[in-house]
Amino acid sequence: MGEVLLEDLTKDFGEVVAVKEVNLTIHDGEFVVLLGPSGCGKTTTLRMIAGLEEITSGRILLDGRVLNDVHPRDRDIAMVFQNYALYPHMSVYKNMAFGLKMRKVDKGEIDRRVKSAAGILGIETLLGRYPGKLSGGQRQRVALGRAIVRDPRVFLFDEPLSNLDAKLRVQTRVELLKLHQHLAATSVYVTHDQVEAMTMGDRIVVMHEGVIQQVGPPMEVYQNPANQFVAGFIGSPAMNFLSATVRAEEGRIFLEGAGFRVPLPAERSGGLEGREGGEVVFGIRPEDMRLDAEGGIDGTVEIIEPVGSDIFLDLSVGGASLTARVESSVRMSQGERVRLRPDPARVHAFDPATGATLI
Amino acid sequence: MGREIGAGRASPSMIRRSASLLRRWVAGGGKRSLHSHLRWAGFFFVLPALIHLVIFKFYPMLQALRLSFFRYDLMSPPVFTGLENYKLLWENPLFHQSFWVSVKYMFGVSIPEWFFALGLALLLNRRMPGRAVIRLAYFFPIAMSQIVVAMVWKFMYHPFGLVNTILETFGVGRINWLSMEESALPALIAIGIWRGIPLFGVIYLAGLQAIPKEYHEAAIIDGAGVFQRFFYVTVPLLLPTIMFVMVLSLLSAVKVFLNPLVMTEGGPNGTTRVLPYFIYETGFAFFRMGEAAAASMVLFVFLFGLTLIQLRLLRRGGVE
Amino acid sequence: MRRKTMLRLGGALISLLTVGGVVVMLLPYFWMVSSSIKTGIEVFDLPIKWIPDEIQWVNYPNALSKGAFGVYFYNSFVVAFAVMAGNLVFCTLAGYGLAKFRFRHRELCFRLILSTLMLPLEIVLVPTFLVVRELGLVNTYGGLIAPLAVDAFGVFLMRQSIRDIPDSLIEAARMDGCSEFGIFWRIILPNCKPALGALALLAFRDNWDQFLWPFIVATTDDLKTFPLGLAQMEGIDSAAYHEIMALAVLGMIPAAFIFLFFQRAFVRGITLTGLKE
Ligand SMILES: Nc1ncnc2c1ncn2[C@@H]1O[C@H](COP(=O)(O)OP(=O)(O)OP(=O)(O)O)[C@@H](O)[C@H]1O
Ligand SMILES: [Mg+2]
Repeated sequence: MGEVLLEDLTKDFGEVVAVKEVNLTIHDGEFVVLLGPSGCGKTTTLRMIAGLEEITSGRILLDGRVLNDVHPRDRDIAMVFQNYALYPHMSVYKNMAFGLKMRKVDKGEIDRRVKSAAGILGIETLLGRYPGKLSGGQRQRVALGRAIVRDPRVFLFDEPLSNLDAKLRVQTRVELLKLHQHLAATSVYVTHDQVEAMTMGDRIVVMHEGVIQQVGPPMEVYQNPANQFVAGFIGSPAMNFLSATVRAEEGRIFLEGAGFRVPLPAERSGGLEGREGGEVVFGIRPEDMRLDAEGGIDGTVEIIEPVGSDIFLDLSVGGASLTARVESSVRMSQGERVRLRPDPARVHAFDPATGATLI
Repeated sequence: MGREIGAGRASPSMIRRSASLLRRWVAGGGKRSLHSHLRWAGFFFVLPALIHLVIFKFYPMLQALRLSFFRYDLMSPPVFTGLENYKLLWENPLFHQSFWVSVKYMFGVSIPEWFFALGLALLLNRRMPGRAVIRLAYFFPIAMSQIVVAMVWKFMYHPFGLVNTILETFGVGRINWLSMEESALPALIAIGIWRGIPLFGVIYLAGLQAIPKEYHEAAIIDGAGVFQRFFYVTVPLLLPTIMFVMVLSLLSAVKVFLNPLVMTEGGPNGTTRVLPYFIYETGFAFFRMGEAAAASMVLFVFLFGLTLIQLRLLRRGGVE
Repeated sequence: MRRKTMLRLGGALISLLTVGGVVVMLLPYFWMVSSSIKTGIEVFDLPIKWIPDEIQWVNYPNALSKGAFGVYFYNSFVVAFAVMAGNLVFCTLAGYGLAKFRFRHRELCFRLILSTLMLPLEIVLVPTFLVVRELGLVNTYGGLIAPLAVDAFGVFLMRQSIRDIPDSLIEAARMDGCSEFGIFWRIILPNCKPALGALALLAFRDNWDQFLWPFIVATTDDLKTFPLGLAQMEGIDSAAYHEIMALAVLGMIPAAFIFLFFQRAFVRGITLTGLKE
């Protein structure tokens, strides 16, 4: 078992409110990713679950038991630190055994568990070495091993991949997922890397300035962002935002601005009702447009960025900039004028004042 | 027992209260939350040292202040005399002499130390063959006892000792260093400098090594010469260390006691009677405890002011 | 070409200076050792013979017999080790508390402790003696040791060094189930060995060396420390330089030993301290 419940969880450091009234249920066996820009309170949330940070108000429950005043050692929660926090003066074996030794597990059992965890992670040959003599990837595994041997109800990860190089990061990401499938333990994973979040999370929790913006499965968050912040944060290159005016003509709704005029299908325009003539933010992802001489967006090519599989075009649309993804077969030159047609089903609009999603 | 002087001992109820706090802390982590436990934990780690310093530094300091207003000879009960002790000191030419001897010794030792030690650290920070051995040779004297140093140098300064022998080869006549008024204090100052250089050298060296190489490399690329690099890179970055060495060297120079005691007995004619020696003599040879305490207070105020000025000056330097 | 020769010449000069410096720093010690194996007359012979024709080992037993030096050495060891132990324990605990915990008035505590650097024993000599007398510790080992058992510089050194240990190690240990004292013992101590080495060395040196305090508080012969014994012997027999030097050599050995034992830790300990801030 390992169901974690966060109720109105709040943390302030004097003036700074790091985490504000967070409510979240993390189901048993689920892999939840906390995602958000630097300083949004991810680490603080994680550390409160671990018991390393005092809770200002609210509650944390694990399987129905209130953890607020429970010592970290008694929470049955293990954590993998960003810098791994391996004890430099202990061998890999001792590092992994330490938590069990402190819990007075008997020697034979410790040995069995350490060896088995080492087996799962493929680090049997490292057991006698010291952390100072390991590569980044090896340290990362040892840190994982130290968490695994304890067989906790919940695993916490604080950006465990951020100290690895790009290639190793991708590889380790896959291994971590496999490991999760194998162990099926509840995991809370903090990252500011949205690719990690998208690929790993059963659900992702997007945070901003200490407040949860949206919780949901990755694709759901990607396709139906709850607000402009989430829409802009998830996806790379990021969603384009252009300020627009809502127009109603001949019973159809258009989003109109300098250099574009985009019609909306009737079934999607409900959210804009009553806003005719008003300002909104028009949002469209680079991959949700295609070249079309009849398209509603009129731009001038400024920069062409081929990335192999695709080409990213940086366009100037009525003075604002917009990025579009086109197929790599397209030939294009700088200064050329192009027209783009947005996929009507993927057009977004946000309230310019609150950032709330309208469509 | 010197009950008369002591303010009350720690009361039983105070002890009981702290004992129960301690027990609660040791048991802590169970009932109360980790974090209130931690707030106490840090304090309890510091507490033993704090208690020690209260008993053996702050309380004596207050006692010294109190005692400086009394006449006390260890035998008969102390008698309150107001500012009498300070007045006695003020009128005592030996105290004035002592004060200036101490000042001369302090600066005479510490100022050359700042420069020599820095020079040594710069030398040892260079790459050269056998550096490890040379470093070891320089730092070895750190381990030497003061008494050994005192004995060796007393012998060195003997009219037929090594110092005179060496000087003689340069055509200087033999001098009885320790028994002449002009030479006794300089002789002791020389020992102080010689003795202090290795320790302060290590501290400087540590500071030098803490300066990231990139700064020097950047300065080289910018075309800075050796001296420019020293003044624009090394010195500013070394400032905290310099400050530390300055304070520490003054504080350790002012404590000198053993050398004047065993080498010159404060003589000839009081020219090496530093303040600690004066305090010792007044208190434990003449049993004028009150006056000795008053002298301690004067010395303390002097040190305190000096340290404050130094910190102020250097902080200003550090900001610029 | 010219520039290169100049540079090399400069380098050679500096190296010469470095080596010359070593000689100046160590010469007195060579002379001490050399004199300790000469006869009382040979010590003033000119020109100086650094190694005498006949080595007078007998100076050593002769010198030792001029006082209860066995007792003095023993006392010095007791004081030096006890004070060293006190420093290692209390300074490290305090350094840990100041470096890694937040509590009310922490900065004030730190400043108070540092301010005692301005209150060396030499200054609070009289009242410290009175306190020790009040505690009934005059002429006891306790009286010799207690006032020296904590030193502000040691606290400073340990605080600086412990601050460099990442907080996450402590937190990992906390989650691993270590008690707060367990963290200190199993995580902090093993990770500040260089600083502990530096502290041990300095504490040993300064207290093997204690002169003033024993001089005041230990009036009976069986509590005298080595420096007192040596000074006393010198006072009686001030012309016996060969024997005084023999005793000085003996007095140098323990500290020298400790130095060689700790020297790597020492230099690293100070280096790591780096005197940041
Ligand atoms: N000990 C502290 N004292 C004061 N403020 C803190 C402390 N720890 C965190 N904060 C503040 O709380 C906010 C949230 O910090 P947190 O470390 O949780 O961010 P994060 O989302 O993990 O960011 P990052 O991606 O950079 O790690 C930040 O504004 C930070 O400055
Ligand atoms: Mg973080």
